[in-house]
Amino acid sequence: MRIRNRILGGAALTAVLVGSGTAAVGASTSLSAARQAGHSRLAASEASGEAAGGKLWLYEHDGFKGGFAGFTGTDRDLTDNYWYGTSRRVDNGASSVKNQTRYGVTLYQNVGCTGAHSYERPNSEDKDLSNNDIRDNRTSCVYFHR
Amino acid sequence: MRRILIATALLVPAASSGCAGTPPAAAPPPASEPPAPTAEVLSLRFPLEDYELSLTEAATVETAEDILVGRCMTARGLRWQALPRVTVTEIPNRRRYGVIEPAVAATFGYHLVEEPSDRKRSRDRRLRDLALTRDQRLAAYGTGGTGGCWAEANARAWRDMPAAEDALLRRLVQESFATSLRDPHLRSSFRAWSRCMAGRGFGYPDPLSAAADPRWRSPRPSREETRTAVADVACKEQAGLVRTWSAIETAFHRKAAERHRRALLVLRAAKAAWLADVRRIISEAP
Repeated sequence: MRIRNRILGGAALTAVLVGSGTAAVGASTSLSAARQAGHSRLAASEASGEAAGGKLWLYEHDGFKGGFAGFTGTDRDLTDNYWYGTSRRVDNGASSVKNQTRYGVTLYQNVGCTGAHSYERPNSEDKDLSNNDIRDNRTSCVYFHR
Repeated sequence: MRRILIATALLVPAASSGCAGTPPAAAPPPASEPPAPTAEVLSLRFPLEDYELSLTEAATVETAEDILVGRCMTARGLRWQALPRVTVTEIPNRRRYGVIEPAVAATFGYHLVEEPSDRKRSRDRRLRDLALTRDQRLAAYGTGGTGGCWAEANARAWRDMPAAEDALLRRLVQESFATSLRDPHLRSSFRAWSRCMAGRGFGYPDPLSAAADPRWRSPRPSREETRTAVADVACKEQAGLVRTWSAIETAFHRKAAERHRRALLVLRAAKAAWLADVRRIISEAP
């Protein structure tokens, strides 16, 4: 399960982007287009979606920008997960989220699923997990109600 | 109403290192049935939760969603087995302060404990979906797993969820916890807890650190983990930590509820109207 929930590392991103003709990063391909292609291919390549019902995507920045990471199940400790294709940790780094699954998912503030927590309903998105008084970037555990 | 405080659950695997370079001694497998929540866990509720979507309410929306999938499938000439209803135990804060139940600590350590309602719903869903024909599955979920009748039903069931709850309640609930961590009374309780733990041979500055120890990433709780968790719970009791912590957060919630009374009343009314509509879907089901 741990492995299933892990996010692919940099080598995997290279394989996804370069290994596929349509998604290769070329001079005529914009970064955002390449990123989107990588995202889509990652989603497609890992989508046993029909069976699993999609993924929960965490994003590094507001508005679904920056690094991204996909999950298909509970992970109580995000410290050993990295934004796709980077060496930057997901832990305490999520600023927006898309729940593209059929299940509710709870985001916990701390490793081990303690502290404040919030619920992302099935098939929903939240472009800004931040708030005005404390910094965002506090997700350290994801729990799937599946 | 996207946010709800959640009862935690589930056995979550991970990788482990054990202690002092030795392989972790595996404790017996966790019992199949999680321990019943203690009175303390059942009573651990906070004023702002009144405005959030409860676990029972979330289950109600899911029931309506499932009924709507059935209607859609019927309209397409396909059968759909509605899921049995589940009764949810409202224990949204079982792990808010880490492990606080002796029986959970002794059996599960810091691993998550699957609640019976989550497990039942998961099993029922799995069995139902495994029995679907390809045509039924495609009609129900589309090719990507989140389309088809389910997407229509989901959009309808959650359509009137008050969106305004997201920002306000999330901010307040997170702020409550973050503010509590800076409270001098809680800091004092942390020190008392830490001294107690040190007296038992465990070195952690606070309970959140104990719960987050990377050694607990094993598929099953090790004996070291359950020993630590048992000591953790005992030291929380000795330090009066849960009482102190929850009192601080309750005071915060009360003040916040008063400060945002008008907005919260609007939210509550919108939520009530939405859930009345959801319940109507259920009551009209054959």
